[in-house]
Amino acid sequence: MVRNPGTCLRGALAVLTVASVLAACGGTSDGPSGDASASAPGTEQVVSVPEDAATITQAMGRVAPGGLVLVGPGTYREKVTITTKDVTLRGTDRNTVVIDAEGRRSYGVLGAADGVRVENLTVTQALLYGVLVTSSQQDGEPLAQGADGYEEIDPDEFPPLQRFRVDHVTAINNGLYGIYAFNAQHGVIADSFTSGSADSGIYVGQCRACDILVEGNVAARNAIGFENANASDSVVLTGNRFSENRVGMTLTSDYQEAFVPQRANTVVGNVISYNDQPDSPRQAQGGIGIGIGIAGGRENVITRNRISGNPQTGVSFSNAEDLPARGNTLTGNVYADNGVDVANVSAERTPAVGNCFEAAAVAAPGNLRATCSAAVQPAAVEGSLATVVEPPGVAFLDVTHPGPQPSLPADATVPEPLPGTVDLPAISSIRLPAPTLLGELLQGFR
Amino acid sequence: MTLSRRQVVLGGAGTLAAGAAVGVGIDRWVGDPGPQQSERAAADVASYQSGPHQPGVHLPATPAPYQLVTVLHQVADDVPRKDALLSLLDRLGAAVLDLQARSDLLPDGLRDLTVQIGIGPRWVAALDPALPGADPMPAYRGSSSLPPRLRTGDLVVLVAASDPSTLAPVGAHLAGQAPGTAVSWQQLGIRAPGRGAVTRNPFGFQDGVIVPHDQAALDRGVWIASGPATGATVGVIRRFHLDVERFEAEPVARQEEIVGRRKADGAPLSGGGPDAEVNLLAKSPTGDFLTPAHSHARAAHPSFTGRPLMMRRSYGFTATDPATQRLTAGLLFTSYQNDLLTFVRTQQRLDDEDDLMTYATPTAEVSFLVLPGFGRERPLGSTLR
Repeated sequence: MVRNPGTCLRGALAVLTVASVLAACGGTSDGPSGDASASAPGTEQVVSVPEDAATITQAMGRVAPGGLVLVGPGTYREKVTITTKDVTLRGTDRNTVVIDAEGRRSYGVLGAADGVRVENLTVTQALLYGVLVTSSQQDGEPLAQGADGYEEIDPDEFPPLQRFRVDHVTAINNGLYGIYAFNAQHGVIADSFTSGSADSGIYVGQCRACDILVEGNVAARNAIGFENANASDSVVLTGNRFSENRVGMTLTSDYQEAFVPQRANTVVGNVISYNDQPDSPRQAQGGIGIGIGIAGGRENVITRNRISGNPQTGVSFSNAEDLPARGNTLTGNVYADNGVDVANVSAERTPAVGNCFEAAAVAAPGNLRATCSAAVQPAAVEGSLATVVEPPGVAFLDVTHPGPQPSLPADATVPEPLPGTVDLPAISSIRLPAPTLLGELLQGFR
Repeated sequence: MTLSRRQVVLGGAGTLAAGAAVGVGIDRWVGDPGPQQSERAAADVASYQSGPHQPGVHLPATPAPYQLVTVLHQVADDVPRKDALLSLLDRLGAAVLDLQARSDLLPDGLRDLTVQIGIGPRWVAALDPALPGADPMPAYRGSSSLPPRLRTGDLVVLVAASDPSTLAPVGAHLAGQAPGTAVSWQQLGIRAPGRGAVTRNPFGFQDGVIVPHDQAALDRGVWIASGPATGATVGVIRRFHLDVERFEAEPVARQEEIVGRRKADGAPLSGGGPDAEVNLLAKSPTGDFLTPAHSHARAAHPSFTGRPLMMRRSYGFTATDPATQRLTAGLLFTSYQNDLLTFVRTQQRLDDEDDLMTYATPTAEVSFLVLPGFGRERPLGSTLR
C-alpha cells in the first residue's frame, strides 16, 4: 500500500496542542520510539522497567515472544510500540505507572502484535490515542483509519490483529480515543477507565465476527463514551458505565471504514446515564444529551440496561447516509428522566425500519413503537425533541482527572498466551445492573 | 494486492498536482501557451471529438474558458420511437463532425471548440431502460418548485471553446439538427483562469481541487465500464443562483469556515498546502473539527457516501437582473459519474449538512447520459442500437 508521505494516521495532523501549534505527523515521534518493523524479537521472558531497562521501549526490544514487560512506578515520556507476539505490558501499580504523551506525541501505547496485553497502568495526554490495538501500522505509525478519510484501511492487506486484552487501564485526557481497537478480533477491554477524550473513551472499529468483549469499564467526561463504527456480530458490551459524557455510546455505520454496515452487537446490563456533561470536549457534531445513538446500525440488541437522565434522548435512531437504522431490538431496559426514552430522527429518504422497543418507553414520535413491523417508521418532527443547550467544549488536556482507580496487585507472573477466542458471557444470565454500577469510580471528579 | 481507496480514488501517493498527465498534450493547457503551441493544442483538442469518450468530461484537462449549455425537450408528448431517436443522434453526431468544414459557422476554423451531446432520462429509457441515466433525478432542496422543463431535459448540447463568439451559432446549428425539440433553457458559463482543473468559483474560492486525475480514478468513478454504453458517463448540470452579496458580507474567517479552505490559496483549514486533502478527523483540543462540521469541504467529501470520486467541471456565470439592473451571479454545477447515485447521495448530503448550500438556490437541473465517443466509423449512439 502506498501512503502519502505527507499524511499519517487518523487525525495525525490534527489535534492542536495546548500551545495551539499543529503537531506534525513526523514530529510526533520525538520521544524514544520503538522501531516497529525492523528489530528481531528479544529473548527475555521478563524485563523489568526501570531495573532491567531504562525505558519501556528498550524493554520491548528485549522481551521474548510470550514475555512480560513489568513497569514500576514513574512517568514514562515515550511512545510504546508492541510488535512482539503475545507480549504483556503490565504496570506494578495502575495509578503511579504513567505513560505520558505530554500533549505532544500521537499515542501512548500501540499494540500491533497478536496476543498483546496492556494492564494496570495509566496512559494520558496523547494527541490521538491512549492505547491503540491494531494490525494496521507501518514503521510504528498506526494507520487506524485514513489520515484524512480518503483512505480506507484494506482488511485484505492488513489482516485483523488476533487476540488482545486491555485490562485495568486508565486512559485519560487523550485527544481522540482513550482505548481504541481497530481492525482487530478476539479481544477484551475490561475494567478500564476513560475520560477526557475529544472523540470517544473507548472505540471499537472495523471488524466482522469481531469476538470482542467490553466489560466493566467506565467512560465519563468524553465527547462520546463508547463508540463503535462497523464492528459487527459478536461484540458484547456488558457491565459498563457510560455516564457523564456528551453522548453515552454510539453504534454507527461509517463508509470511511470497511465492513459497512454496523450490525449485531449486544448491549446488556450497562448503565448509560446523565450524558450532558459540560466538563468534556465538545462532540464535534454538537451531540449532547443522548444515551445511545444508533446511526445506520442494524440488528443490535439492547437489553436490561439502565438508560436514564439523558436530557434529549435515551436511545436515538438515525440513518447514516443511505443506510437505515434497521431491526434493532430494545427489551427489558429501564428508562428514567430522559427527554424522551426512544426517538427516531432518521431522514425521510432513509427511514428507520423494524426497530422495536418496550411499551414502557416514551417515544418520539408517539407511534414509533406501533410501526415497528411496518414498512417504514415515522421520524420525530424537527424541533419536537428537547433542546439541550450545548456547553462550550473543554480542552481534552483540561478535563478534570478522575482520581485513583482500583489497581491490580503487583504481579511478575508471565501469563499464558491469550486464548484464540474470547469466552463471551451467557447473555441470558446477565441481569439489570444497580443504578450505582461502578459509580464509586467517578468519585474523584467530585 | 488490493488497491486502497486512496490509490483508486486519487492515484498512487495521492498526487493532486495540477496538470497531472491525463493524455498527450494536456500539460500544454496549463499556463498560457504561445500562439504556435496554441494552434497545435487546438488540433489536439479537435482530435478529442472522435476519441473513445466525448470531450468535456476529462479533456481538455483544463476546461475551455467558455461553455454554452443548451437543454432541449421534445415538443410532442409521446417519446420518440427507438429508431427515430437513433436516427436523430446519428444526424446530430454527423453535424458535430462536419463542423470542421463549416466556415459559415466558424470562419476562423474549429480551433479548440468541442461539443458534448447527452440525452435525458426519458430518451435513455426509450432506448433501454436498463441503461445508466435512465432514472430521473430525485428532488433536492429547493428544486421541487421548479417547473418540469427546468427539472429534466431530453437533449443536452454543450459547446465549449476559448472564443465565446463561436458558441451561440454552433449551439443553434446543432439544436436545429434535432427535429421535434425546443430549447428549455440555455446558459453561457465562464471559468476563471486557474491551474489545471482548479479555478475560482463565483464565491471567490478555489474549486476543482479534488477530482479524478488519472485513468484508474476515471475508470472507477466516471466511465461506464460495460454494456452498450461503455465509455459513456452520466452528466448532471444544476444551475444555481448564488447569493454572493450575502456570502461576501460574512467575514472572511466565516467564509472559510463555510468552505473549509482558505480563501487566499485554497489550503485546507486542517493544514497543508493548496493542493492538500482536507483532514476530516482532525480536531481542536476542545473537540471541534478543524474542517468544520458543516463546511462544504466536509459535506461534499466522497468518503462519507461510500461512492467513488466524481468528475466536477463547473462553470460560473453572471447576468443582469432585470429588476435591479445589477449583476447577479450563478453557477452551472457540472459533474460526471458512472452512476447517478454518486451524485444523488452527495447532493442529499449537501442538502442536509452543507452551510454553503444556504447561499445557493437551484434554478434549473438536468441529468443526462453522455453518449460514448463517436466518429465517422462509429456514429453517435450507434452502440445503443
